Amino acid sequence: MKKVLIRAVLFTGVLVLVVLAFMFLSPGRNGIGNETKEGSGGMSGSLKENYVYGPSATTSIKEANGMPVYGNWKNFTTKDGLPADRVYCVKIDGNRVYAGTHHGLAVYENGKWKTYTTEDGLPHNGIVSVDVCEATGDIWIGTLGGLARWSAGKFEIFNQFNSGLPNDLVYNVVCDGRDIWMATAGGAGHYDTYKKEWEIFTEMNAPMHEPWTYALCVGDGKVYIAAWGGGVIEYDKTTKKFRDYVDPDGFMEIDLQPDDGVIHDITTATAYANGILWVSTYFGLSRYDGKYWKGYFDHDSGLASNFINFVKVNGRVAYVCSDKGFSTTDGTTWVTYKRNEGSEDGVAIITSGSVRKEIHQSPSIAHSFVINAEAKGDIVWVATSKGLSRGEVLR
Amino acid sequence: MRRKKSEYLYLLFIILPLIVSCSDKNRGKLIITREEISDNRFDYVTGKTWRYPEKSSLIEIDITAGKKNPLVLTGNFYSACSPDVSYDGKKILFAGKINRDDYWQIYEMKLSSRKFRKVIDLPDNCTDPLWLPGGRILFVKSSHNDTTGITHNLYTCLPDGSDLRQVTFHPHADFAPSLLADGRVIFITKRLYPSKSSHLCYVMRPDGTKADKYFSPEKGSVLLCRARENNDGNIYFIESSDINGEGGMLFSVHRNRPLHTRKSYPSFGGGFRAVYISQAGEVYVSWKKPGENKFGIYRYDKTGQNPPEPVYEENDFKLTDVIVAEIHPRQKKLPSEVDFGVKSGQIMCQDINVLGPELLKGKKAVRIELLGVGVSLGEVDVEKDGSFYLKPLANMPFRIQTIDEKGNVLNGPSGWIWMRPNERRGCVGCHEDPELVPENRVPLAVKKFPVIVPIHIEKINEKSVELE
Amino acid sequence: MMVIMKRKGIKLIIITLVVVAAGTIAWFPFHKWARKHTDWVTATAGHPVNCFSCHIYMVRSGPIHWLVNRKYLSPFNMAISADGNTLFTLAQESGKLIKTDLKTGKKKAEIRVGEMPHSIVLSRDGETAYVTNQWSDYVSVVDLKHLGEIERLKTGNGPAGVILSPDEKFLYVVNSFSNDVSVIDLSEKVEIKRLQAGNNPTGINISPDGKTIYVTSRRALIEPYGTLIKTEVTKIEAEIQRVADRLNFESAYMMENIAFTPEGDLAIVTLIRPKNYVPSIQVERGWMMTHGIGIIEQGGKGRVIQLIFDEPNAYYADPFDVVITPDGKKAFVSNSGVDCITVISIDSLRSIIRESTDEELKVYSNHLGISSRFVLKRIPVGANPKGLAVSPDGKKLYVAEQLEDKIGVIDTETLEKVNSIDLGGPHKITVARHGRRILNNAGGTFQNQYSCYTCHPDTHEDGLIYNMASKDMGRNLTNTMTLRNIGKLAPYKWTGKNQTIYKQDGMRFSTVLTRTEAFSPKDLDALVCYIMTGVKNPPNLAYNPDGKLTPAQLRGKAIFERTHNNLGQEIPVTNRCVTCHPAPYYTNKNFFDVSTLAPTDDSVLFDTPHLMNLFLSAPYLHDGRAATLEEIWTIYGRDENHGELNDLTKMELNDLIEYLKSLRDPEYEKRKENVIKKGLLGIINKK
Repeated sequence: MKKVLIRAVLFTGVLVLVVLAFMFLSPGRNGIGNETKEGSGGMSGSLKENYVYGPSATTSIKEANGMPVYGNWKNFTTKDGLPADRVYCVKIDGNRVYAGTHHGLAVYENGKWKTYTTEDGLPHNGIVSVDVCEATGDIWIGTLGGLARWSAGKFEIFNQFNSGLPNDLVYNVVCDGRDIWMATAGGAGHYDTYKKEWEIFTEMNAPMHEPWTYALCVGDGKVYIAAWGGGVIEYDKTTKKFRDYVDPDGFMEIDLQPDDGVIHDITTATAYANGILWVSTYFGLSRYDGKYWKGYFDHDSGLASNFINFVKVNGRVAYVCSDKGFSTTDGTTWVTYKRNEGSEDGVAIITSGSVRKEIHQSPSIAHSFVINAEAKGDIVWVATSKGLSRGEVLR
Repeated sequence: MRRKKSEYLYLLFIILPLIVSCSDKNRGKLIITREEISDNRFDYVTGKTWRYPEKSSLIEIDITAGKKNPLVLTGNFYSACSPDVSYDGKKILFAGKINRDDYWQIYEMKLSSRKFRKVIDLPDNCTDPLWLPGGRILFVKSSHNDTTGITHNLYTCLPDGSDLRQVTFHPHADFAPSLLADGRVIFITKRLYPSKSSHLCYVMRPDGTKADKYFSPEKGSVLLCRARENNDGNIYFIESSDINGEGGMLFSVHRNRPLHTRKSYPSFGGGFRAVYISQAGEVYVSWKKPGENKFGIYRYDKTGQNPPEPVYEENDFKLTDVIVAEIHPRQKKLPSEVDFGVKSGQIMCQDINVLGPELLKGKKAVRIELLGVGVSLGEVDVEKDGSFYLKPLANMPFRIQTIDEKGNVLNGPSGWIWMRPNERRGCVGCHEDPELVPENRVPLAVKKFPVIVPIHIEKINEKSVELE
Repeated sequence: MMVIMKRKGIKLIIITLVVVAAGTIAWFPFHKWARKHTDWVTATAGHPVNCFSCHIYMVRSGPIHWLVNRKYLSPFNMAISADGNTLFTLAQESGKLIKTDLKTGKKKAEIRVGEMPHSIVLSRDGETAYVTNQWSDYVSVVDLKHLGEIERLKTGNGPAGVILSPDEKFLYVVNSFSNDVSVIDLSEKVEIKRLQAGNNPTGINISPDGKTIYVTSRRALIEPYGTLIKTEVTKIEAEIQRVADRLNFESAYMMENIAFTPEGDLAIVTLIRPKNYVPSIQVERGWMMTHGIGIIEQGGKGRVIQLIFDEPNAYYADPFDVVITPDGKKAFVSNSGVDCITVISIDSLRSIIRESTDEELKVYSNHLGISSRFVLKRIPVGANPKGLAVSPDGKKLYVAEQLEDKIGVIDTETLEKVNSIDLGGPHKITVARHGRRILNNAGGTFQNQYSCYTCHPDTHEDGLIYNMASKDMGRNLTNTMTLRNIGKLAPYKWTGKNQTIYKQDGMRFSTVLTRTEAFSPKDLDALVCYIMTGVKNPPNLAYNPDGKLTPAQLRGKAIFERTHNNLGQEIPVTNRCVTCHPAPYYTNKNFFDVSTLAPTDDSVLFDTPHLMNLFLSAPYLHDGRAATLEEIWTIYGRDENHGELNDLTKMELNDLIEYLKSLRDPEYEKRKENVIKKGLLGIINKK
């Protein structure tokens, strides 16, 4: 009887521990149902808006294992009103979509595109990054000639001559509540919009190889900087301490020891959500859960190409922008979109272990050279070198 | 007891001089200009019989005393007129001549003793003297040249008559100056060259700078006397539609907006010749009853309810002007930017094509011509924004007319303008609405050096003054 | 007996004569010396000898200062209880909220709030007042039942205007120094967001339907000289608490306050239209400043209209507050510079807007005659009227007479001042107080066109660059300089050509600037006394609240004081920051050429400027060509004559600028404890 009681207590204890562990490790551990908070492309900092990867974004295609499969592509080019076909970045902001091109910022609203250039107050027409401050609604724009705050129709310019901006080549800008983070050719930068103070992080004060930074993301109190040749630099906003993640294989273009760290020191982007850090490089994709690294390559996964321009994340799905297609993955299942050579059609390839399914798509994404992407709910926007594509989850 | 009386004696010794110095014997006394009754017509060009009345005299009337026996102040003079009272109310300035053939000159008289002295002695007629807040004396002086004929301009001098300075320079007949509370001189003027114009009322700083039109009478009418400003800001003047008529109507404008606040007062069938407002706000007028040709001094009810109340009249004379000998506050003593080390002034126009709200559209002028007295001073291109920036020789009267690209005159010529040494002034446009203020923009013309006028002069050797 | 009396009298007379004679003999040499001394001290010729002016009234501290000066109240803004029986007045100088019974006119209570209280708003139930403290960076939450401060809500820098959301869940606070608006959640008592506003914002109001909030700014947006002056009114959409629009008021600035008509069809703002681009060659015809109102059409074309309320020969300087009667018929504007209230007919404004084309309205913004169509009356009030409040029944208008320490009461029907409520401040007007009145009054300029305050709001500077027309028009562009705590910083002007304030504000000043009668010796004494002793800098709560520098500021300080550059080479002493800008005022008061003269400047040396509260003084350099501190070196300091800094990395330059922004008035080094107690740190410590 006593033994039974002890077993029952132990069993209950174990059960409780399992439940607790699930609660702490599950995506919805912030206690907002299955809403998840993630930190790529400035999605962080929002206390109100969380990007739901739930029923509304699921698909009925069983091979996808619940991963969204996008289709019904609508492609936009200069013929549709874009200032240029090469689109560097895309950002969804409620009913508006911002697309950064080399000839200005295009804004899509009510089915129409409107372009803003230096004549309207932008510091440069090369728009490479856009993020929205959810609290104020201000749009922060990274350009090849400085940073701009677009607030209620007025552009405010920050450059290296009139402000503490590290450098005028602003590759990536991220809004994080009152803080604005930027990756520039002269280091990573931080601007406190309350105190109007600037901080610069370079090899002088951070474990970087050189000041050149490509992108960054924010999540769970940390900033992850994709530093050229420096792997990933983690900055703790509370302790103001740095930690770097570099490739144990150094600059070797092959990954000698699989999953021993970030695939390569030349990183192109970072994306963080649900405790998972995704890192893109020109040699493959890395995933870090806080303890273990996992590498993904085109030869051993559904990844379209190892040459990755950018990575974003929405919930547990990473959106990988490569030179040979657009891939989405949760780490096990992959959905990759490619456009056929010389055709408007293309294919969506679902890969999950040994399972592989191809879905013909007509039309396909605008081009297979994908530079940036942004997903929200059932919709995804994909920026390519030959136009901007809008897709929706297939039912 | 003894001590007390001695203290009283002591106090008396101390206080008595103070009491004596503070007493104002002239309080309430009127200084009146008395003229012989005649049918002489006014000449608004030479000032004859208007500003230079023959056989006129100044008398003093004590209206506080029951008896109104006139005290003749200028018994030694063949003619005297145009009095002005000093700020302490103890002295008067006036124009007079002792003998019939003398020139009219400016004299000063101490009212208590009636001792007088000649302030200036010039080979021209002078009249309408005025004490300026800075201690100088302003008056009207005649001059003559073959081109313009007889003109009258305003001059100033020190109380001893020295340091004579001309302050108006246009070919006009300037008369009847008085002072506004803001320190500016207001006077009646009539253009004589190249053609005669009707009367205008001008205002300027006592040093002759910033001369400008203040208000104008009804078309074809004349102004008969010095304008008089009341403490409430109303400026009273007498205007006559009959060029040769001696009597006119009483009007007022408000100093804040003189061009649009004209107000007339009933004449009760009679005619006015002069007006003066005492410190107590009483309006004294020289007025003649209906049908009479003899002016008397009356107290006028500003509300216009009651007819003028007689103050003093004479049967054999007309009383054509009145002032009150009393202490009155000094007007603002305006600083002077005039510097005699400088031989030029500077004038900037923001846009000659701005012509006031009712004339916003029209042909664009591209050039201006500067016209001197009987000579063209040259043409100057204006900037793309319509601005020009000139450096005319000081004290040289000139007019401006605007010219379009075909060489046709668009506007002008303007009225006569002159610049005092080192004076700087600007205008918004050309014949613009005088109530228009400048747009806040940098005129293109001031990004260059000013154009010297006459334009054939290349350089002026003069003192450089830093004004900032 | 008579003989004795006579003798006594004669004796006294003889004694008096002897004393007078002796005094006269002694007087001549003394007066000769005093004359020379006075001329030297004032740098003028012939200013009347008056030992007290300098040796008593200008003493900056100690018992003499205490004896000759008084602590005034200086009422600024007000609020009236819903029943109209109680007036709550903010006394800026004493840092108090004064409760007054309007029935009896008696003061009921004084409640200590923060430094320099600016604005107040009452909760609908009348139990709570929210007071912004501009020099303390927090809102005092005042319990009006128990008459005490119960909470301090942290804000941005320089909290000024304040409103409650209609549901009273949020407080909107305008941060006048940090140029933004704090949105405070009153249930959590925390700031949830900060919205970027214009330059030096102050006034705020919400539309009757609760949907639109406008925030006015005082300073123009910083743009290169010659660019059209634009000052922002920030439109906030209340429902989403985001900036919906940024309205530019062209050729206008100093938009202090804003009011909505009860119908909500118009929003009216006070403004000044400066003529800083026009050479300062005359005052006549509105060539220096004009003053008026701005109107934002809520319906219709949504036009932004400006109408000046000056007249051709009379100007109504420094409009401050605007309020509208509950019946929506009249608007009242306080003209701080001419001690009067301008009464405006709202219906007349509507008809002008209705009947006029856009082109005509543009002309009216520069037309001195238009005021005759909408101004009903000018009501004289006490010295320096600031905040206005209309009683709930609309019958009374209350005027905060700042330099009178009184509240003027005006009957809104008869438009006459009917009463004056004495707030209990000192009745004696000290010399410094008289000087403050002169500085704030436009009587010292021709036709009252502007006051010292107009270009030096809050005795600081208006941020504009003026064409001072030296020698030729278009020469010598000058950025306005602050008047705060400059008593020990002679010489004055950027060229240092005026050795004293006596000279700066003397005859030449009246000849080329005010263009009216120069200040009387008595007034000039008072004005100089106020500027020399009574003008304080606000604490630098944004960048240096307690004297403890941040790591970045410490690194910047090291660069500021460095003797060697990054290459290890010694920097010439004359090219080190600290040489010309040493503490405590960060100026050595010497002349130097930093090679930033413009081609249009006279060839002169610069008087080294002080750097106190530098962060509040943009734009920079003598002609304001540098929009930010960075530009001083990134664009205009390339020849290394303004400090040797080209070897700095961008990070080091940022550090230097963080240090420069931390520089504050040495007065606060002494008053550190006081600042900590009352300032932002006080809140942190308290919590």
